[in-house]
Amino acid sequence: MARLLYFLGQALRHMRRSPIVAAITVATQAVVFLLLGAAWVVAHNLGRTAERLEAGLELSVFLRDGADAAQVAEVRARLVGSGHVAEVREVSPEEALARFRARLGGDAALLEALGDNPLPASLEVALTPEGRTPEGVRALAASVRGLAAVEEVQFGEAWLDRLFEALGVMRLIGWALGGLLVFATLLIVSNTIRLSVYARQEEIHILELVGATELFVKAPFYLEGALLGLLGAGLGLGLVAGLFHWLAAGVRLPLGPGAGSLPVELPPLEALAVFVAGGALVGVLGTFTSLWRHLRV
Amino acid sequence: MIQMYHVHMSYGPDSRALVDVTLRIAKAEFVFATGPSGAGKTSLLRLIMLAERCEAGQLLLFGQNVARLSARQIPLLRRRIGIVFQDFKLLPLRTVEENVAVGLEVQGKPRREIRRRTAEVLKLVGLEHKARACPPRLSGGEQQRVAIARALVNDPPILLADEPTGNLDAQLAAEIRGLLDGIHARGTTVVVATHDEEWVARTQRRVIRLERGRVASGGMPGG
Repeated sequence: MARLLYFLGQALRHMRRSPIVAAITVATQAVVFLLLGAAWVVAHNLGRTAERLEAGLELSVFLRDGADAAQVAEVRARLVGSGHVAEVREVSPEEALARFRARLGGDAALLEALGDNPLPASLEVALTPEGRTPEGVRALAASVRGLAAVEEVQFGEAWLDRLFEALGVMRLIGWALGGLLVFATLLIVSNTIRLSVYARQEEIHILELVGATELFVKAPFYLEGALLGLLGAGLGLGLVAGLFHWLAAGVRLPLGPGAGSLPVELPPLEALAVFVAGGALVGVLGTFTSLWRHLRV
Repeated sequence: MIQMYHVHMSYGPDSRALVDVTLRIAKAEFVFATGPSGAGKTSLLRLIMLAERCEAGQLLLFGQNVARLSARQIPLLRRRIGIVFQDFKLLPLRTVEENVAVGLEVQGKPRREIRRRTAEVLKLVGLEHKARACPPRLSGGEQQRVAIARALVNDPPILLADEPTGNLDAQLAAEIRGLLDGIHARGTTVVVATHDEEWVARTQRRVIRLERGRVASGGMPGG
């Protein structure tokens, strides 16, 4: 512990000796983490929305008028046999009409003009979590579409498909851009540590001659890199949180007609902590590349 | 304590520093290494302080063959060798006591011990009143005394000094000579590379004379 404090003292001493270089490094890293953090907040909220929509994803199988019990049982068996179905619920034409009426509210009187109930009986299929993907739903729909009792199969709307696609592309771009930005900060930290090593050549030489181990010489540089990374990421995320409260607090994301909306939020605190730790890790990696190239003990 | 057998060392293909050097320095001996500039005095000391490696031949320190040491063992061996340079090699932004303490800090000694031992050696070199000053505010003689204090703080069995009086006027040089005599009197093996012919002549100690990287005389005790 005493040793760690000593190394920390040395690292802070390094940073104090060249405050401008340290400040520029932290600021650059803060900007990068601000961008990454902002992209993350957007992805996090779109992801939540998609999850909510996904959780509501279900299949409606409309039955032909006059389909007999055996035919309906066949459909039911096919659905359950897929392994992705949590529950199959039969909705009679009367129940469907009652629901429709409830949804129309004040305009329910319009239904009186219809005379006979035009709505078909249907099976409402709730999916297991694994089954709730656009591909899974599509495959399940295809498996029952040709059966004798089935009139039509409806599932998730087209825009939902597109949302998933867009989300996938966004994630990909996010990872690629994030990777590039992180690589850039790694180079910046690496360069800062290189300057720090050059400024301390004489000191390093003296330490070696009085019997310092490799760890003793290098540890303060690693701590310096980690501190720079930690400060940069912390500052960047602080800015993200500040901007979020200023600009986005209270904004709600619509979940589609009749489904309400979802308030936007910051990712959970633990995830933010991991993000900041990631900053420290970038600092350590930057130090590693720098020391590997410029410091042989 | 220090043994070399047919040691060769160079700083590149056209720069031979030591050629076929064989010598022995016994425990508690005080030995001078002399010779014209470029004769190999500093190279000899750099080999012993493990700042360089020999290309051929063998160097034994404390009975250990240096070529067989692992990278991890080298710092441990260096802690048993104190070094004093002509240009002092002090850290200008650290105080005198921090400069001296560094030799103990690298070993991870407890704070209390570091403080006690640092105060002891600063008293030995007569600088206890300058403990909080930074080296640029000290005279050349004082800076050299700080360097000697740093070299002694580990109580090393061997002390190497490369032109320790080279940058000092006659009076300060005499102070440093006295200090090194005192260290030797306590049983430390001292090797001094110097141009100071008067010092060498006056003390009647063994002189290893180097010429163009070779030992011209004095390689063996009593020789």
